Amino acid sequence: MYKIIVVMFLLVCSQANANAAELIYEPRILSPEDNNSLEVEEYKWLLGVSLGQSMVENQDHSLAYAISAYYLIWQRWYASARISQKEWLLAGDEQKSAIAWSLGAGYNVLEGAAYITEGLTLPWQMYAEIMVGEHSLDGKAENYIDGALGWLLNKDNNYAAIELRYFSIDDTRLQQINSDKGYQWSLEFGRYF
Amino acid sequence: MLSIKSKNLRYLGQSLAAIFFLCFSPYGFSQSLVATLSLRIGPSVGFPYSLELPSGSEVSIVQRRGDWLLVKDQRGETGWALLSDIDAAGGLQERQAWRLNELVKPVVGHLSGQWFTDQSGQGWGVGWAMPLSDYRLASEYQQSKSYDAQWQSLSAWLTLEEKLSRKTFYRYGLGLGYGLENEESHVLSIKGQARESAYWGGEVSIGFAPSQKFESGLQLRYLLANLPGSHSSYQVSWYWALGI
Repeated sequence: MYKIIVVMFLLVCSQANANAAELIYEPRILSPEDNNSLEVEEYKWLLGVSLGQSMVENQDHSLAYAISAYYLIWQRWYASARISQKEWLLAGDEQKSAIAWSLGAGYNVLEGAAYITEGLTLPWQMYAEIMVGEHSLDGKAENYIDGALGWLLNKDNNYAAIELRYFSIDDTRLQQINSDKGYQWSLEFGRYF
Repeated sequence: MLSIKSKNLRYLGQSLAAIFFLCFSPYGFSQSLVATLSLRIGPSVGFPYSLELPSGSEVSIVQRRGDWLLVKDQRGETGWALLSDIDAAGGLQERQAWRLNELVKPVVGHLSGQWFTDQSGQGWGVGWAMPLSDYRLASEYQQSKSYDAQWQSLSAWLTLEEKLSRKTFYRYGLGLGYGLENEESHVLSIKGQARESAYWGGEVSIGFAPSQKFESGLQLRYLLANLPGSHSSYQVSWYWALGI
């Protein structure tokens, strides 16, 4: 009799436990797994080099070189960083090299498709960006601001862009010779990372 | 005896082929669509549609740019579609969809850069901001060199954030700092006096944060110096912050 009572008690307990387990909310937990087939390579950065020519009063049209990095923020917005180098002609025909760094943000104003050849249509973007930073010329760093409008063509993870940039530098030496503002066009080639 | 050897060799060959296939297969997996999926030529709604994949197409995901995924079908044709659209059309494995949607590493803080302007000119700053309970504690270094005026400062700001919408917010708070300026600068002193002093101030900012990894906004600050005959200054800045 005692054994029967114990067995019945255990059966009731196990049933009660089973019912309790059913009542517990158990959301499906999907843990991150080390499985290459789930990985999707994410490209958020663009890195490019550019070559251009400036159009500034009282300066020769010397070449300007730049390295640019862009970070895709959200939808058509991106953040940008740039380091550029250019030669300047100061008062007394003294030639000096300057390095400018700048940070900013841009927006892809227009997007479309360019028909290149039969079977090759490439996406393009027209962008506008504003950048601020510092311009270091002959050991003196001054504020720098620029705005650009450009056209960028993508092919797989590579891109080529052509742009026109207006810049202004807070430098009294350049202001004296009326060269503190100007335009610069450039060609840029880069890749998504 | 010979037949056993050849059988073993066959098993070995099959095993090697299976290992090679598993390790070097060009497609990790492909998924069959349960609805039509329209693909664009680029990763944004501004790009035109380039292809429509019918239901039943075998697709694989090649890469991601934000919310957009590059899809490749069995013929090798590619195009871009929104992650949510691909998921709705059955183009993602369940675990992969979950991983792409949910698996986001939380940030520990934000590295920030700013461009600012005040009475004395314009300059730039860098900083580090981190959450502190319901508040945000930001430490910053600023410098401005406008023509001959120079200003340098180190400061700390404690702000409280209120949401305006899912992606926009405003913050307000107080800060303390220490600033140095030369004779030409008049941020916290009169022009002609080179000063260094502690200051305190208030801040109001408005910004947008499309993801926890990035935010940008406009900041207005009022600075008050701890100098005899107190001097004050306004500062407007445009800042960017990257989640680390």
